[in-house]
Formats: sequence, C-alpha cells, structure tokens
Amino acid sequence: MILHVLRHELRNLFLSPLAWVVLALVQLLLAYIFLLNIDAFIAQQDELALATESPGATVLVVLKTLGNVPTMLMAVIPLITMRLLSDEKRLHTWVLLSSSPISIRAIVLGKYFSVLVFFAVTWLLVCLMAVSLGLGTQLDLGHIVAALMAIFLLIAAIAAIGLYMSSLTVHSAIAAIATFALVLLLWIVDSGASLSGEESSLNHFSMSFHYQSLLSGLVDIASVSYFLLIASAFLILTIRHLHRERVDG
Amino acid sequence: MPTLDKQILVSVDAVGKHYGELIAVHEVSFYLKKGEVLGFLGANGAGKSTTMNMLCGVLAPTRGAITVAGYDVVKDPINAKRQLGYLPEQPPLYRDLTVDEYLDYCAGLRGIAKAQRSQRINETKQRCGLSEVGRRIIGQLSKGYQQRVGIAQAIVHLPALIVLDEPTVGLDPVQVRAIRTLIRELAQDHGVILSTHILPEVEAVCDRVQILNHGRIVFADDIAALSAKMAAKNLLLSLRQPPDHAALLAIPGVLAIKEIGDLRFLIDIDESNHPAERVAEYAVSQGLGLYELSPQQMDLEQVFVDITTDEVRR
Repeated sequence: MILHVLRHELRNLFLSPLAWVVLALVQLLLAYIFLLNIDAFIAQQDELALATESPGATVLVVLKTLGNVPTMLMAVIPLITMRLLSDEKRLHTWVLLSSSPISIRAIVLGKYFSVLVFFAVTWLLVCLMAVSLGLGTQLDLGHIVAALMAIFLLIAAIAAIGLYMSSLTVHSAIAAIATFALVLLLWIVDSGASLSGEESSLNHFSMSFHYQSLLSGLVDIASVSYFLLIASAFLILTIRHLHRERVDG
Repeated sequence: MPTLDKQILVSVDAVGKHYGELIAVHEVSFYLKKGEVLGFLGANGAGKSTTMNMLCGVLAPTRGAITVAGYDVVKDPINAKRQLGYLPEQPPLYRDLTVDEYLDYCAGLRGIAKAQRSQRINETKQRCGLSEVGRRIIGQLSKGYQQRVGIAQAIVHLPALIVLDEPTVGLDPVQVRAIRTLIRELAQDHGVILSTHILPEVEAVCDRVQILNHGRIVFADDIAALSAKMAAKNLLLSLRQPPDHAALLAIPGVLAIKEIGDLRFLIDIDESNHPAERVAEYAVSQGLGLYELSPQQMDLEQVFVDITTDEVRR
C-alpha cells in the first residue's frame, strides 16, 4: 500500500514541470558554485603548496560546495512538499484516500518516501559531482561520505516538516512559506549564541550546528539522531493531525 | 465479526455528528439490505453528505455506530472500507491523470492485486461507457464523462456497498438517464445508497426512501408509501359556464370548492366516496361545458415540502 501511494506520488511529481525545473536549477547552481570553488582552489595553488598543513581539495572544493546545499534545499523542498496533502484537500481527492482501505499512516509514509526518492535523485547527482573530483586528485572519502550523509539527513528532516505544513492548510503557498520559515528558524536559532562565541543550549536545537558538525566529518550520534528525531516527530504530527481532522471534521 | 443476519449490509445505529456547538446530524438510524437501493433525500445542508462521509469512514461520528458488512467503520476501518465504494459530492478525480492511470490507482488503493487490475478496469470502463476514453486526460473530459469516471472509481473493486452522493448533478437529461440505468443495474448485485435532492430520481431508481431534514430522518419508508402520500386528494374541474356552488357542494363526496381562476375549480374530495362520476354527470346534465376533470396528484416536491415544513413547525 505504501509503495502504491509512493509510485503514484512520484508519477505526479515527474508529470509536473515544477519538479524538472527544480532539479535542473539546483544542478545548474551547484555546478556553477562547484566550478567557482575549483577555480579559486587552482588560483590558490602556490600559497597552498607553501603552507605546512594545507586543507586540500576535499575541504576547499567539495565541502565548500556542499556548504551551499542547505540554502538550496531550504528553498526547494517546500516547493515540492507543499502540494502533497493540501492539494488532496483542495481538489477533494482526500475523500478517495480516506474512504479506501488504507491507513492514514500508509498514506503519509507513501507520500513522505516519494519526496525522499525524488530528492535522492538530486542527492545522487551531488554525490557524483563530489566524487568526480577524485579523477584528478586524492580525496578524503570518509569525510565526504559524512558530509553527504548530512545532506540526506537534512532532506529527510525538511521533507517531514514540509509534509506536516501541507497537512495543515489547503493553500499550498502557505504550506511552502511556513515550511521555509520554520526550517530557517531552526537553522538560525543559535546564531545569537554563536555570534557571541558562547556554547549555548540552543545549539542542540539548531539545524546548522548539527549540520556543520557532520560536515566537519564528525559523525556524532547526537547530530544524526537530531535529524531523525525531527523527521519522525513531524511525521507523527502529520498522522495525528489527519486523524484529528477525521474526528473533528 | 460479521453480523448474523447476512441480509443486512449496512446498519447505522443512532449516529450523530457535532461540530462543537453546531449539530450537523442529530441522530440517524437506518439499515440497508443486499440488492436494495436506498434514496437519501434532503435539502442542501440537511446532513446528507455528512451522513455519507461518516458511513464511508471519511468522518468519524461523534456518537453511534456504523457497520458495513458486519465490520465497524470506526473500530475496523480497513475491513469495512474494503466493502464499500464511494462517490462523494465532488468526484475525487486527479485531473492530470488519464482515465486508465486513475482507475489503476483507485483499484490499487482498494487492494486489487496488480494481476487482476487491468481486467477489472476494462470491465468497469465498459460498464460505465468509458472504453473509448481510457487514454484521455481526465481534466479534458466533459462533465458527464468525469462523473462517469467518478462512478467507475466507486465500483472498480466490486464492493458490496456503493454510496453515491448526488451522482447525476450537472448532467444533461440523456446522461442522467444513462446513469440511472447504470444504478439500477448495479443494484442487482450490490447495495446502493444514493443521495439526491432531485425527487424524480428517487421515484426512478430507489426501493426505499429516507428524507433527512436538519440532521434528522423525518420520513423513512418504501416508494409505495411515498406514492400513497402523493395520492390524489383534489379534483380539478374546468367549465365553460359558471356552476351553482350550492348544488356542487351537495354532491356526495365533495367537501369543499375553491375557485382558482376563471371557471376552474379545485374540489376537495372524500377519498372513500370518490365523487368524480357524479361531478361529471352533474356538469353535463346542467350543460356547463365540462372540458376538464382530472385528479390532482400531489407531486413529490409538495410531499417533500409538506414533510420538511411539518418538521419545522414541530
């Protein structure tokens, strides 16, 4: 059942021009940033060769490029998740799902995994881009894998938030804006503390803190579970909300 | 746990739906047997769609219990929903899909295995007159075809119970007839619950009828009883010459006379002592130029208005 919904959602996504435009633009922007970073890296070659502990291509090109990915995901994932549930309500197709022998949990998971599969395509392209550098130089693969994992965890968390927002409203634009706002808030929630250079308990709530921690190659259980917790919390909230709607009308 | 009486397909027991202070459905109880078509009548906002949504598990009732084929819709929703197909007031169509893709999705949601799907879909399309448009995008089909796709979606898995909320709304007369024929056909091996505010539809397709008003059932009986309610209680008499009122009133069986236009009279009659022949004889013997004498059957609209306004007064 989950698979059946997943396939349907993926077909819907790939039928809409929005998905293709999103994939193409993300790819284009990343490729451009990637090139800029390679260019800068080549220009700095002489200085880097003199330094005793130079950071190398992994950090200066790959990780610098991956550092830009969250901004794009924040902007793009809400656009893909915004219609998942709001459109079902607005176009009256929710009744088809809710009168069918399928649980709300299966509907929600099917839709959620469809977004993950969709962004897995983007993610794979990012992976290829990163690894392609290996053709010309030595890369710290372990470090890169940690960073790529961070990106996927971020996708999983933002997609769950987006799905929840989409369940709250029939207006997809509102769902998109609300997702973006909440993710941005989670991203910057500790920036006051980090500006003053203090360790703060707010760090634990901050997406950027955990993302940077993974990006620096530190695969820490706390950071991994942070993203997984956000994802599962918002999935549960979505299921609960849809249940409540059935009861409250 | 299926109920003992295998004939009872749906039982709705004292079901109500409240939205905070607002009560959409007070208390509704009814049942449906296999092979029956039950008509749900009611003005807009009478609670028809809410009742149907509860029946199909889209909304949870505030109180009361609903079972479909023996399965409780709230406690065992998956099994109950396997037994039903629902066409809501707004057909739940994905307008970007083709008819085939859409029906395939619906069939899958209703748990039909992939191997049997294409056969089921072809049979359903044939039944609903959709064979020609399988590859067309739903959004580009006419309203009539879209409505048929909506019905196809509700019957693709051959459910025991088919619930149709205003299936003929917005269709032209030819399409309306086609859909009514289809509903009668479906009733041969499924139970059908049909809501409508078009009264002739009830006469055309239903075995039993139920009138809902302000969230309560105010009339529930078979079509024969409804016809009895509609039986003639008036005679219309049209003459060329003015009659003698006193003489007319003196005819046995005539209770009252009301002039409703130039020389047209509405005569209240005593049904047990029908005076039609005597009125005719009188008019002819007096040379009044009788050119019309007909029973005035109350139409369904009037009965409906009577029943629903009675309820308001009470």
